[in-house]
Amino acid sequence: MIRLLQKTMKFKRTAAIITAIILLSGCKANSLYYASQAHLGVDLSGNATAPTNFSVSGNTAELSIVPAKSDGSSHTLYGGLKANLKYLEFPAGNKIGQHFTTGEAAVCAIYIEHPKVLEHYKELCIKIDKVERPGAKAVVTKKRDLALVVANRSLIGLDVHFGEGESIGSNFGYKRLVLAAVPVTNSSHEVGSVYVDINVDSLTGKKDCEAKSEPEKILCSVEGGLKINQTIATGDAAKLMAIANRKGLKTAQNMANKLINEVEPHTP
Amino acid sequence: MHRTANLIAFMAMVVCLVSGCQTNSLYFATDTSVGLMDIAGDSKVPDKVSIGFKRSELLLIPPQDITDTSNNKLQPVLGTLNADLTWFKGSNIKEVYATGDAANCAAYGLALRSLSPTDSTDSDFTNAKASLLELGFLGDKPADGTGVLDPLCPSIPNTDQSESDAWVVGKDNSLIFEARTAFSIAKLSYGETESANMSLLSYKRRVGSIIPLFDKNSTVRSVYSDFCFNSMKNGTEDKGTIIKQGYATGLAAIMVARLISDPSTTNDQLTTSVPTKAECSYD
Repeated sequence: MIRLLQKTMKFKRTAAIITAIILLSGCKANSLYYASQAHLGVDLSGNATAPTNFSVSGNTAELSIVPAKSDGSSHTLYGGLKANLKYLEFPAGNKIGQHFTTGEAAVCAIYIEHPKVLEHYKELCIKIDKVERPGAKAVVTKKRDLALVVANRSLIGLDVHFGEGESIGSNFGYKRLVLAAVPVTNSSHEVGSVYVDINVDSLTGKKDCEAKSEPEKILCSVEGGLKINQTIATGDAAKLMAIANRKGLKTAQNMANKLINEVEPHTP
Repeated sequence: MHRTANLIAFMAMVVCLVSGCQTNSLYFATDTSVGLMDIAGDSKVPDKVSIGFKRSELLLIPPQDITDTSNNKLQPVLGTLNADLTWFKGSNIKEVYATGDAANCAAYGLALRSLSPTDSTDSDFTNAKASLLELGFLGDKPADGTGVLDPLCPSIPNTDQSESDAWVVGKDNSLIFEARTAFSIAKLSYGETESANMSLLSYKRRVGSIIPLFDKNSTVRSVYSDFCFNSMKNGTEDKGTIIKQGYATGLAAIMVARLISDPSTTNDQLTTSVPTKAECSYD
């Protein structure tokens, strides 16, 4: 019963956040909505006398509502999670990365990891609106009617609850909740760029981290400890960080310069 | 069936009943449950033991205009599951879910890999591509450098809706796309007077989407979701449990699906649902 109540409380909190986001964003249909929740770890709970539940588990959920563009395609959204877990060695021995990105930043994030394979999509990284088809009927919304809202909450480590004679609960692991409402101000254009990510690394040891190249060292601890990187960015900053967090800032700058020189200027 | 599939099945049924199955949306849901050993019962006697596998799939494609002979293909959707399960040596599970151009593109990649040996080289892929070419499924990049690498993986979504009047101000053409995953490597619950259960490996995944179509013959929009779980040891080396999942819509869905079909993207891609060569590795 208490566990059910705890779950209900959590659900209420999440529902309140979602409601707040929808209200803040103007409650318009022409917004892209995204929600993601992840939980990885070791859970132990029970009553005051003995633990009754033990699990080594994980769960994730992703939900999106994506409006159509005026040419019939969907706005671009890219989310994902990757993890390498050694549960019995927690907190050491774990590596978790999670990201959510939209628009041109999403195209950049995928392209930069596989530039050879996805060569044909290079131009879209800098200007995805090139896919616009003439003749499509655009729906334009007053920008001031809509707000971009991103809520992001992470918990890494140990979370212990003590009850007075009732229940105890503890979680060794990773919890994350991301909620976003991204307004679509013009249905013929791609949705704006948003980039949100987190990288947690306690698996790469000091020796292995020192052997990595400078850009890769960003994601591991040179002292062999727990390294956490978290980013939230919008607009051109989102595109830049989508590249930088995968290939390093220097590569991102070179990449941006190269693309800007190769691709015709963006006309708003 | 679980909640997502149930919900979509219910909605599809309601829409069918109300509209005479003249809905203008595509409904596609998959529901998977894998459990190697699951024992449940009360605190004294186990009354349920399951070593099983469940899979439910639901697909509703609206009727198309058969008088339009220029477009006589069904809407592309794809749902795959590959599982390699052991009790004591780990498990390897891979799933792909896609619609629209992303489904075609991912299916092409999976077909290409199934035609190639496990330790395939670039020349093996070239031969596999030639085999598919003979079947009329793809062509190489045009000599002038324009076009796309594979017709099934377009560089822009293939919708052809520029002249459509279907987009109406105020009308909601939003698609809904949900993916849920839950796994437990070990689980033990024990109550003093209530039920007890124990499982060694259990895995559930539910993916569903409802995608409105602009008209009867328009290509369904692209969504893509995949999942990869690998706890198998490499020899005696314990590399940990690798979990990866991707979730994408629009152009991103096509791009991620495109990664399956290339031999150079075996170990470093988020899309890890390749049945032969690619392993689920973190980097």
